[in-house]
Amino acid sequence: MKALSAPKHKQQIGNNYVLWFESSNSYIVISTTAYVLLTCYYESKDRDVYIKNLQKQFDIPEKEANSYFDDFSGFLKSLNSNSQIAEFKTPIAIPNPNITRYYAFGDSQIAINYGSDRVSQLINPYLQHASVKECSHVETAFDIFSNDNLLYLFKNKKLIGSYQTSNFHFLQGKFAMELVTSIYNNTESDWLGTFHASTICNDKEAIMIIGDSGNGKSTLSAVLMSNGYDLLADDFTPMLAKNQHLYRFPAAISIKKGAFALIGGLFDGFNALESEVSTSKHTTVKYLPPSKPFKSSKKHFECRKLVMVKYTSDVKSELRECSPEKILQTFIPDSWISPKPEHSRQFLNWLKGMQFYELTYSDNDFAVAKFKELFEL
Amino acid sequence: MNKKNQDNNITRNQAIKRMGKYAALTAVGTFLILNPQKAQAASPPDPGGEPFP
Repeated sequence: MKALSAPKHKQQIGNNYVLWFESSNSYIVISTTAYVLLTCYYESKDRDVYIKNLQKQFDIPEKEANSYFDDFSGFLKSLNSNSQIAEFKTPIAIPNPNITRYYAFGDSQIAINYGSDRVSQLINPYLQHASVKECSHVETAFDIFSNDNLLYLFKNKKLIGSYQTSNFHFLQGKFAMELVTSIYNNTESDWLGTFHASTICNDKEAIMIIGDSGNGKSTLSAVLMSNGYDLLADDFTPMLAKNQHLYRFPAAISIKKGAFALIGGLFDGFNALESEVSTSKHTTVKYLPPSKPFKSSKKHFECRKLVMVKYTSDVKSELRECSPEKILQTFIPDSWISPKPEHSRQFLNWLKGMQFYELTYSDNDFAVAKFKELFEL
Repeated sequence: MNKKNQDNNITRNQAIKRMGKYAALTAVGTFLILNPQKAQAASPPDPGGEPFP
């Protein structure tokens, strides 16, 4: 069946196969049985041959084999109908900035020209801790402004993208990517992906934390930071392709109002931080800076463990191993993964070596103790 | 092979609903279709309300 695209890469992970289709940059998780029958589908030149092969090799009745054929055909066609457009490239002149701020990340110095205070609220609160009064040598200058219901992002006067205001999280994400390339002096094509995850580390390895919004990722990251762990990245974790290491992203953690009392008791100065209305959450937040200075801290770590967290006040706390397919259902759709075939192959290889866990907790001390155990494994 | 579907005696559409938004139920079992974001993104805004105040 050559008419339909075959997966470019395949990897057995746990009890399943994960297949990658280049045309749609889709990852498909299927059982080993389904994988065997799909392989047979690709090897058969038409329906009749497929039915005969299944009857002969697996003793599958004709009616059932027909049903498999129809399902595979329909499923594979649907893989090409994946649309998700968030970006517009509209020519526009850069206006004079309303606010200019400078930031220093180690030796990397950047300037951001904001079109308005409102636009600056999308970026500045996360980077405020790295702001400096002036820079001796600005390597990268960004212009970020809104015009006619669109948000624009320029880097060194070159248009990177424009986004509907309702999609401001794509502007934040693209800016974060561009900031990463400025800090690490490379290009977007060097990065395998950016994961919607918080990442903590000791001096040897990183553990990634994922979870749906409202499940306490950021609060837990802050609690772990107060227990001496190093926060490598919050909410946006970049992975470099060449070594599949996770890299430090020096943004502050946004802490929601509900956790102010808890976090205030853990960090001196937190109570004095100004609270602001979040652009993305319907609550007030405070921005807690990373505890380690960017310049002197190690920039990247290997990651072999991923934990999906779920905070619920009335459950028995528990850490258990988790099936890869359960993790991947949250991890892949929430992340940007480079569509390059080489990067996809590296991603699948990296997944193969991962250990997956699920932490349900109602008690932060329990969570901290479990992370300590995971770091000691 | 198709045990889950037979045991529960539910329709294919019901089964897909139960399995979440990324699942497709075929005669040979569940296919999880996972599409990464097409662009880098920060946390999306909470649903409802004015997203860019």
